[in-house]
Amino acid sequence: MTSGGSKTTVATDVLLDVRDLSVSLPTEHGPALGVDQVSFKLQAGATMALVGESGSGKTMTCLAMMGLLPPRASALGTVRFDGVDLLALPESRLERIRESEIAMAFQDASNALNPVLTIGFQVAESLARHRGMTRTAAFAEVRRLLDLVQMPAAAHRLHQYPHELSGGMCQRAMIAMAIACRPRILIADEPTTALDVTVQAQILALLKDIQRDFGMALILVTHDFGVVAQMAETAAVMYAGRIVERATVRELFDRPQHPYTQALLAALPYRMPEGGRLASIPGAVPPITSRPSGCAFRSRCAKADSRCAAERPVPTPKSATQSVACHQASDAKAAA
Amino acid sequence: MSSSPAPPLVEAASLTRNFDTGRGTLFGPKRYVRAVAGVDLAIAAGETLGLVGESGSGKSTIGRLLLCALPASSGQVRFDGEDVSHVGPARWRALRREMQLIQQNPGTALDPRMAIGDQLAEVLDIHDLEKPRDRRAAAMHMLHRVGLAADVMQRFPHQLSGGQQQRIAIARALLVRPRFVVCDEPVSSLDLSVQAQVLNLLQDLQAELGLTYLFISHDLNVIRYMSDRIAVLYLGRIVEIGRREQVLGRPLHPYTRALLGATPIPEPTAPPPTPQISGEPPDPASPPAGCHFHTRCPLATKICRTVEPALRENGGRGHQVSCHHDAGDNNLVGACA
Repeated sequence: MTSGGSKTTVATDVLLDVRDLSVSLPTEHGPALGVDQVSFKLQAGATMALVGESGSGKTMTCLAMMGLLPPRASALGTVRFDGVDLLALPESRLERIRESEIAMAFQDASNALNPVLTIGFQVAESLARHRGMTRTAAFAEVRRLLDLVQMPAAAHRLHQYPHELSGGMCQRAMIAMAIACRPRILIADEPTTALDVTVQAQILALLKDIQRDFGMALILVTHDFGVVAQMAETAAVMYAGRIVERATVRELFDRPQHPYTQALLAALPYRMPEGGRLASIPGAVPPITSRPSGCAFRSRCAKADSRCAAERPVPTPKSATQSVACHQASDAKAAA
Repeated sequence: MSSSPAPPLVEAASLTRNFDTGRGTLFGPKRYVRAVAGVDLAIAAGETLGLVGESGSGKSTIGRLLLCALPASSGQVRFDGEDVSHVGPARWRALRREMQLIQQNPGTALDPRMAIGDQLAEVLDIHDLEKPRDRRAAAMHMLHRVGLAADVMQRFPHQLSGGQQQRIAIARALLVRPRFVVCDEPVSSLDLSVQAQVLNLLQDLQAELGLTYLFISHDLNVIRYMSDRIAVLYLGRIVEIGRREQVLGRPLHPYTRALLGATPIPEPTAPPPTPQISGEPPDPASPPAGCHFHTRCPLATKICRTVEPALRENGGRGHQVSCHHDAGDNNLVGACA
């Protein structure tokens, strides 16, 4: 929706501009690229889904943008937020941007929260640090935030520890913490994966409400195409550390261009007509230490030829909003 | 079920299972969780019954009770007409060959210190199937059948991907030629592309070997794809059961409708998921009185808080629901169908 504008408006709207972001991770066999030249832009207030299977580099991409990579991992490329390259910033300045400008809600909130601090204290911490609030003011604000995320019996939860809360309540606390400083971007990493479906629907609806009320941009990391379809405006599909296709969600579902995207959509049980058979992709995602040359997907791709082995495909625009990294993408249309 | 053309292969009557949770204090009363509370169901030979529900609803416990892998606190399990709730060790062992389990996490279901070929041959040894010298060949044959190459025989589980491990778990379960297989969240730990491979494989094998499945999943989209009939579970009780098109096309229980409404649909044009119910499932250790669902139900009235609704026929041909407000002309029905 937001990405449909003309070139000039898009340029002014861009809040986050990621270019050629690569993350080198230490492995037994030396450093390997967990994220491999990833580029995307995020408009203010927009929702982008980062979708892919496990090990595709979704979480690593987010951690790199936040400067939260594990020890001995290193990032290359640029991550421009409001014109400033986050990767070049010293830790002290990056820390201010984290939480107050770009916040992240992690997967499995019950493990991501600090088990020995109360919920109230954990949410108040960032208010005190980044907004200079006093204890009383911060706790009053926490109370308000917990109400905002529809925490049941919020006043009581302030003084409880994470283990006393259900998974859904922990995720609400985590979201309250993330939005405490009214960030301009919220990165939600599989925010509902550990939750039951009825609770998932509540959390997704909550994220949408908060996003609308705060005018916040949202990066939603997920492996669930249902969540992508319902929540996002644009999506980037990742495979083996690379973005293989970027498009609006409508384009992605209606006219997927990359063979991997096409195969994933054909593997969804929901989309299967009565008595139909699911398409499946042979093999499994190659481990980080043994990725194929050229196109990373070629080892599982029915359309791969010698060019795919020799030459790495670069993202090529297919429309104003869709780009695909595939040598065969022009022929792929017929199959879609 | 009266609607099933074939006689039931597996039946459960008033099946109940309690788990002790210890005494709160030294001399306090014994406490327990009623994981499964009076479940009746029948699975016809050759059909797939899908069992769907949220965590803690008792899905896996029902699976284990039907397999007699877990003794029931009360109630009865019948397999092929025989009461198998209280069989002796010899008959129990013979039954193991007839009923098998495929678990969610194949990584822990397989022996980490045994080569795949040995694990598969061992199963045949235990059940005294095939001649000893033919066992490895039989194992190899089954490996091919589930789409794996012969070199897997020498490997260990940690050397294989999750999808390969699950294929081996399937091969091991089917090697003894069971008639009834409980598939307990068999694809939940697998990536989407691999999930499709395993679902297809399970369907092919069912058609080929005439298997009867209890297919357990929390994912309504997977249940829809796999099941002939569907049972919806909430806090240890079946709240709705019927043929797939009945339960998903014309859901009668508010919880079924909530599940359907909450499941995100992978179509950008579909209406967004709506949280029709608030709150989270109650603690199974202290379920609400009356209808267990009344604390989250948009339709709950006074009767729901006191009287537990019975599972009874509604909508015809084996479609059963336990709800005081299932008149069928309910305004929510059309909205979610």
